[in-house]
Amino acid sequence: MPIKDTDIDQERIKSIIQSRLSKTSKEVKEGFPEVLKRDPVYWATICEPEYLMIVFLTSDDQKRLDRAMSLSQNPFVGLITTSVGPAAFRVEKAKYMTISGCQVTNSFTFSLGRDSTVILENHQQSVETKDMGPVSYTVPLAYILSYGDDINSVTVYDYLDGLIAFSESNWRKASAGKR
Amino acid sequence: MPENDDITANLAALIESPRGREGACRRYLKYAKSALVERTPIEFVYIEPERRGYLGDADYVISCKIREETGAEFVRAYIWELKAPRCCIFEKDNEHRLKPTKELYDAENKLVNYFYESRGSELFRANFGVSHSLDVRMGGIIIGRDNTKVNGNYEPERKRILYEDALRVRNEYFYRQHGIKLFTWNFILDYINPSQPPTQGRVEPGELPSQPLNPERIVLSSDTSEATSPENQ
Repeated sequence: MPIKDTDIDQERIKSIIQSRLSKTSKEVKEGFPEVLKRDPVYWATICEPEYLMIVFLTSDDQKRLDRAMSLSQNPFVGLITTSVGPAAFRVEKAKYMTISGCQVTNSFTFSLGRDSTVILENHQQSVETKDMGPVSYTVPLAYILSYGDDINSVTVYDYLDGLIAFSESNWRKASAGKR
Repeated sequence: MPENDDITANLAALIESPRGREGACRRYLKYAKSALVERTPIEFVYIEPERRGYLGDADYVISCKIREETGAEFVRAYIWELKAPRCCIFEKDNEHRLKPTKELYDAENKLVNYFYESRGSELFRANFGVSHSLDVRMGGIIIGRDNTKVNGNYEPERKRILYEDALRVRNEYFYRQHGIKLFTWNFILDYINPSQPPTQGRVEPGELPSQPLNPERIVLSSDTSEATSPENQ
């Protein structure tokens, strides 16, 4: 069941992001999170054997990510554990879940089980680590998909596309409600 | 308009029912419109269930207006073929290989035929607001449910692997280049019925292991550049 990173087609992910998020008109983008209004839009794809995570990045996030990676450190320490252990949210077989505006301190945010799709918005994470000391960061927007019976290396693109469509549809409704 | 709980309960019951038919399930597709088109639309233009054609009736056609970054606008129509939730998707061909069920073959055959006819039909394009035949697209097929993916007496793990392989082959050599998607009815139900975040757990504060990520598993991309991983930067 573990998925190799080489199984993930980065160009296909890029094409979905362009179609749904970045190459759309100004009017559509109006209700999108600020991180998607950058030009160009930047993101990091994290391909773990148990899950796929796409994190959209501000310029500060990019610098933080570059620095962490050059030191071989996990730039998203404390965000996800795939063990069933203490965490702010246990997520398993949960689809199209949105978690927005949370702050998690000194705990994993997710204990991530199988077959789940999560939208994470404006999330603040602070952790005290043994080897990196205190680490604090914000995730402006991320899509997280864990593999299982439904989500596999073939269907993950459809689930990502559906998850992005779902989030876009919700932003639009929220934006229309404000007007 | 019914409450969302009623909508999802009714669709869930139809999906599990041995007599649940695609026509009854189709009524719920209007709640998952965005998942049935491949671009973010500025508006949906026209939806027609059971679009009458010379070759037969297309089960569900949806068109939407898309405005690109440049300001260019166009309308695109997507044709979907539906089969009942009780239909199996693949069945045993031999110990190592599955084959599509006759219901899936039937759906594929209808989809390509209705697409062929619709693309060439001025009336179809006029009805759905499509200017160019290239903007008539095959959306895909919705068939089966979680427990009807494979009809065959395999061990569960073997069944899962064979299903993934069968999907991969069909996707790589048939569906993908034509933009065809294959959804189960549970995919639609999940879309309509999003999971609510669980109550936030209480955890004892403490130091966390940093759980190193392999940098080779992180790829940085932008919507203008080629995808790059640190190793080939």
